[in-house]
Amino acid sequence: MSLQVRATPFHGPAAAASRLNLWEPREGWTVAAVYEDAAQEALAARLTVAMADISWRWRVAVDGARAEEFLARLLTRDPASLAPGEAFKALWLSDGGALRGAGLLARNGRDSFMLVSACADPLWIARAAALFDVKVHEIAEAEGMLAVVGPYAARLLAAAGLDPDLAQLRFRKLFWRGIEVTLSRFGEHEGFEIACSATDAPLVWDRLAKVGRAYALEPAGMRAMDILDMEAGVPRPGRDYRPARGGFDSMPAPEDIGLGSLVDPDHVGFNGRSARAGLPASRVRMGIVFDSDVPAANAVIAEGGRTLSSVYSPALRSAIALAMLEPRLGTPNTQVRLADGTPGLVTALPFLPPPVPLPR
Amino acid sequence: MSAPADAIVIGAGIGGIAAAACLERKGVHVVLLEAAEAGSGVREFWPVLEALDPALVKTLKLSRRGFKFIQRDLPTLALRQDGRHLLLPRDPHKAARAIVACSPADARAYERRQAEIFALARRLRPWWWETAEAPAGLPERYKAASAQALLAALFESDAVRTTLGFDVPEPFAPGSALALLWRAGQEMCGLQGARALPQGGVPALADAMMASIRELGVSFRSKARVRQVLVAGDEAAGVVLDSGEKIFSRAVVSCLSRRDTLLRLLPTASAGIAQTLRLLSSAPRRSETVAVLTLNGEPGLGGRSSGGAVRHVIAEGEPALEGVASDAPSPGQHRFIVKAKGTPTADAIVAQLERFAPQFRSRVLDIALTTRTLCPPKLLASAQERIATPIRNLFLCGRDAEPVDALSGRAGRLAAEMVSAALQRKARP
Repeated sequence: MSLQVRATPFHGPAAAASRLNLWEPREGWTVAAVYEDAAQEALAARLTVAMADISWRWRVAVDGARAEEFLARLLTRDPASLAPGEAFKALWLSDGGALRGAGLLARNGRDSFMLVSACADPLWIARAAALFDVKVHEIAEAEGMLAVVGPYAARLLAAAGLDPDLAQLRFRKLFWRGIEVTLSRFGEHEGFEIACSATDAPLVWDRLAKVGRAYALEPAGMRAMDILDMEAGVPRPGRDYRPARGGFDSMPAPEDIGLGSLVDPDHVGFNGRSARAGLPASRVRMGIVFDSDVPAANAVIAEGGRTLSSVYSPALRSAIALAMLEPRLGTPNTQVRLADGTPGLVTALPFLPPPVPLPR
Repeated sequence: MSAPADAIVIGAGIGGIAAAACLERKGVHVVLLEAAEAGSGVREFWPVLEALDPALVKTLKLSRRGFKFIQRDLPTLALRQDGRHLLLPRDPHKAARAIVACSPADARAYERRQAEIFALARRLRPWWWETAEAPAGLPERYKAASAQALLAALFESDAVRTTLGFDVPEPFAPGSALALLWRAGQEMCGLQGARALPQGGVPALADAMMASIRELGVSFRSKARVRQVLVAGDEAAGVVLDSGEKIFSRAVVSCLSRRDTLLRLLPTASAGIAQTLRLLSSAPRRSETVAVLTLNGEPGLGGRSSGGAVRHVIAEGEPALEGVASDAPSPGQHRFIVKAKGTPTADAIVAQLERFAPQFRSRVLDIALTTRTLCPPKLLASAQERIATPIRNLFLCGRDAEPVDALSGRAGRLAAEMVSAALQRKARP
């Protein structure tokens, strides 16, 4: 039996660093699931610094004279508010108001953007873009992307020769000792991302790994990053909800997933806006900390609601879950119980603050 | 920039004039815009009316404005190559007597079928004629069956099947049996299922309706082609003319097809990305051609009924067509108007007629053709689905908003009701 491996540009150095040779598919790519110990890797991101291959994220370049007009139609926030070098998070909806995608839009120039998402929606985006004569092309094949997360992230980058002075949701292209990279701060963990050409990827990894020894840099696999995502309270497509794929679907609404804040009420004319019922969500997204080590994904909550995804949090030393609860349960410190009797405590999100980098 | 209106109607076709008139009667200030140089936008040469909205005729008092019929109940004469033509009057008993020559069993079945279908069609009128929520009491078999299959199950004679199925768009398509019901439900001059010939043809209808809107005080502008519908957020807010002039309004009603309205008049993808992609991939498939033939003698197709003119139908061979004699253009001349399915050439039409009227070609002095694409039937769509659009306060009122592409005006009347209701909702705090 042969296994299909779709290697990211960092596959080689990641494989060399992996003690367990454990991989998993992520959006069609093969990425390291764990290097040695997922809990240890997640704690490294929280206490020192960790480096993760996030090249699997769907990234498309959107270019054309009507690119801004197209993206204003597509997204729940107006790209006119972005200057070159700036980014924001937004959603895109079906005609029926259902959540198709959540991602980040970065502006390169007047007519040039990049859209990044944890879940690809290529046909919809490409066909919609064609209506505006806008070109869309995927860049994940040609570019690798690393995340550098943790209190020592800024110091590591500075030591490597990269100026980490960059605000959240900003990015800049620069030459780093002869190679072109893009340094950004897009993620929920207040870390950094470094994007580079596929050819330069092994060199970028090596440079960071070499400098990172002084900061106890650890490579982090997907399981560790999922723990961080969960602790940040961010719902992920596929894991916590199924994105709509029908052009006229009406479910799930952004509010059903707790992503209503990414819809700008002042932005008119985005796709699906007229179909939105404007009704308040019937459930609220909260966190639950269990009195147990055992994760409980997709579990019924006896008092009303359901958990979404769930992991063991090494930082909290408990299993945690994202949950959609009836509004009356949405107060922190409310006691709840799973159907099997496992007790839990409702908490506001995020479970933990992000590991903010120490100043250099 | 012009003074704002309560509502703008784009296109002075029958549906547009109907919408404008009905709105003005409700106290909604209307501006009716027509791209043509002068007069209405009605360019219909086929003179037979079968689906004109009786409520519209009554509401606009068209008979008092000179609109009259020269024949209220036009029978159908199906011409057969073997000479055994089939004359079908509207009266089911008389029609059954004519069918006996084809098949006695079919004659019996016809009377039963007419009674059943006519009763069912009357029950479905609120669905097609008004804004009912759902078609009440519609047997499931009609939703799925093709007209061809239904007629084949009811009748054994090919002559009867093809004649009765002639008026069904896409007779082999699933659900096309509904078109038989729709046709049976129409009413002209108080007669269910009738076809009528207006004096002066459809232009006379248009003139009477234009007189109505003038009397009502509708602002009418010709040579006013709309380039774009203005959209504020997800709501229609007026129009921009080709001249660049903007006219603001609280609602817009378009006589154009859904495809043309949403793709050509709106900003890109304003109707929705999926909706736009769907419209782009669903180009109209069917066409019809109207040929106005000027002859130096009678058409020679025979079969003139005791009641006056007949509608000749030829379903054998290509092109399938129907024809009716019309007002003579000048002494010694005759006019015969043909409506053919598809886009046949003039020569093909004449050749088809000559199969049933020898030397027909030698009688032709002139022939003028117009072709148009037909809107697909929407027999299972509610009025809301046919007339409303994804843009708030933008409605459709033309042929594309009717259950079957037919000259009716009903969609205009219903669009006016929807606009009026929408404006009242807007006015409420």
